[in-house]
Amino acid sequence: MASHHRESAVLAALVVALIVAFLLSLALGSVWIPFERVGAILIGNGGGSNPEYSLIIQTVRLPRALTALLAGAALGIAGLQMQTLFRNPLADPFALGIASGASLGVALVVLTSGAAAATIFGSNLGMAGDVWVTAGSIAGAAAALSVVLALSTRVESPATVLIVGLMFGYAAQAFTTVIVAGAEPAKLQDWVRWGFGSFGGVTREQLPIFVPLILAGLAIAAATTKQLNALLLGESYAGSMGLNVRRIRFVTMAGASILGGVVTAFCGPVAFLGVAVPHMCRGLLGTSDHRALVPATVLMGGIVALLAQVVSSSRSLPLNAITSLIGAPFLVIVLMRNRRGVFTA
Amino acid sequence: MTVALRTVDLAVGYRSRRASTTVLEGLNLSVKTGELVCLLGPNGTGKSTLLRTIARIQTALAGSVEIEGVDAARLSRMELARRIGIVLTERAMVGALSAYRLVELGRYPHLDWYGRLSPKDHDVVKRAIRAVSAEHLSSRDSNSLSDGERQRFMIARALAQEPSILLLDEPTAFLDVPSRVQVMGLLRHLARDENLAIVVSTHDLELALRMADTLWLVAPGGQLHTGTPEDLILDGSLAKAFQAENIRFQPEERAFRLSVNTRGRAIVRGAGLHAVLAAAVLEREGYEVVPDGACAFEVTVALGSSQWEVVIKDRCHTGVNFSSLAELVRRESDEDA
Repeated sequence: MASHHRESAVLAALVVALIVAFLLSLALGSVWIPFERVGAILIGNGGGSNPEYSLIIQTVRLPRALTALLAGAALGIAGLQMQTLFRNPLADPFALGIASGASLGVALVVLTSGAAAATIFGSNLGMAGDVWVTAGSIAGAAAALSVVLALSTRVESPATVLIVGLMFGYAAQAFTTVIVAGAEPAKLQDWVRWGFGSFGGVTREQLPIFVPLILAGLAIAAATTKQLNALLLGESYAGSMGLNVRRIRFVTMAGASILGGVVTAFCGPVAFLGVAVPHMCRGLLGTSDHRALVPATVLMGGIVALLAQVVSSSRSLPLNAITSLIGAPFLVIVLMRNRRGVFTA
Repeated sequence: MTVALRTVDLAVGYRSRRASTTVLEGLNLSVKTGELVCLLGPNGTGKSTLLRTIARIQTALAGSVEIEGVDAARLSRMELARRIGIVLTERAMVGALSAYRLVELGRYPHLDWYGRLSPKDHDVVKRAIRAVSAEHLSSRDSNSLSDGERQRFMIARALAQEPSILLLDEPTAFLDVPSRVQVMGLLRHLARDENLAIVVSTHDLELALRMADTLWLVAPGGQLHTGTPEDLILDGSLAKAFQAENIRFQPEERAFRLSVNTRGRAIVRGAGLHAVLAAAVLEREGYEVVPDGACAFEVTVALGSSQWEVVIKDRCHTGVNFSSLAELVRRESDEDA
């Protein structure tokens, strides 16, 4: 069938684009490293004439590129899961208040570190500051996640879960605002910088935590592809076709929240990717079938995140500004070309 | 013919945390393979609740549902989905999904973990699409289909589950008249030729009376009458179920009529379709058409044409179409009033 050919072609093109974006991300930065050097270092051939190249790639750019790739894939998949689960084209990984919870946790750590965090942890933020920021973010995201998941097992309607998640998010934002209002100006800068988002904050030492968590989240999505397809027609039809709707709702929300929460913890609140990448893929593939959409979203999320990272680090611009600036026009083009509409009418 | 579906002292309704509301109870119904059952009744009498309970989307308040002789409560979700296919009232719209893929979704209870379709699965999908005569539409985007076409594919999707029982909750609700007749005709054919047991709820009384083997008729009090359409017409339960002010059931026409004949009686002389239509004009204007006796008008319709002749107060009026007849009758009524 023609649609299968189109899907295979799109997936193949995305694989090529991902490899190019990945190499670009390794080559570009404060210093340009020629592609042949990048290749040589990747296959373990050393930096040759310039041993600094090897150091830069192994300690800075490779972890950063891996982080960008996985974070982009994670946000795209989490967005896809939420959009399908809630049958809402505007749903994103943070619809359930995960990002707001993480922000509150970080605000507590960064802005009150002189007082609260120091008394609790007996530590001053300094060299170890990043670790505490990550810890605060994970704690905040986990708190939001557990509230929403606990609720989802007791509430019948998915829309109710979505609204409660939103309300939880607003409440967390309100607390955050109160903390920000009372913070010292010097500390606000750290807070604002966290809000910009960055794929460069994950060190080689942190990768063994970051990578398995993201892979686990992606594995959940891959293993529930067929169930997500069954949900396309809504929960009643899914149930009538043999799906255990409550269980899949719990699993999907947990998976999406882990993906969104972990990315936020390590990279800050990265906007836009989660809601946009699934739409880009639906537009390119011309289908809502998750068997094609899940792999495409992983690839496309990685591509967009890597490109955003390249632009943001070579121009020293905030990541969040770039994801939206390069992502939004692309999404609009895809949507305009696809007149028949890529999502539920 | 074997019994595909049986309910045993089934009670359906809603259960909330505190109390349960029973809508229908003491139901002992059965459907044979190859039988088309139409579920009729006014709004709010529990038709959807009954269908959803049989499909186990809602839990039964009491009693049980047996599928091919097995208590449905003992079947797993997947086993149930391989026996019952359902088409719901809600309009499930999905963007960017071809009609073929929409039908593929119905294979869900038969697939491996990643949802891959084997050649056999594809055969079933194609056969389901053929059964609803929609092969030429299967590469279209499901959103670009008309309501009637989409409903065919929703039925094909249910067929792709390879069920022995098909439940449909008002499948003709959004459809125009030709599509309604086609969908009901399709169900009629599926019951007979695919040997399915089909229960369909509908408000389309005239179609139901013509197509159904059996009616399940829910009266406002919550009793459920079952029988062939003709038996239920004869014993008056159909007329009673839809009792309302100013309407009455006309058994000969198998249809409901407004009963506001206040202007008097009229006689139509003539034969064939033109005479029937002339009577329809008079009825719409509020006259009771009778075969004989004293009356306000006597309309003579020339054989096989709409040329008519009316004698009123010794004056003869003629015309060649029904709009002029309607005009005349209206004018006369206004003068009388």
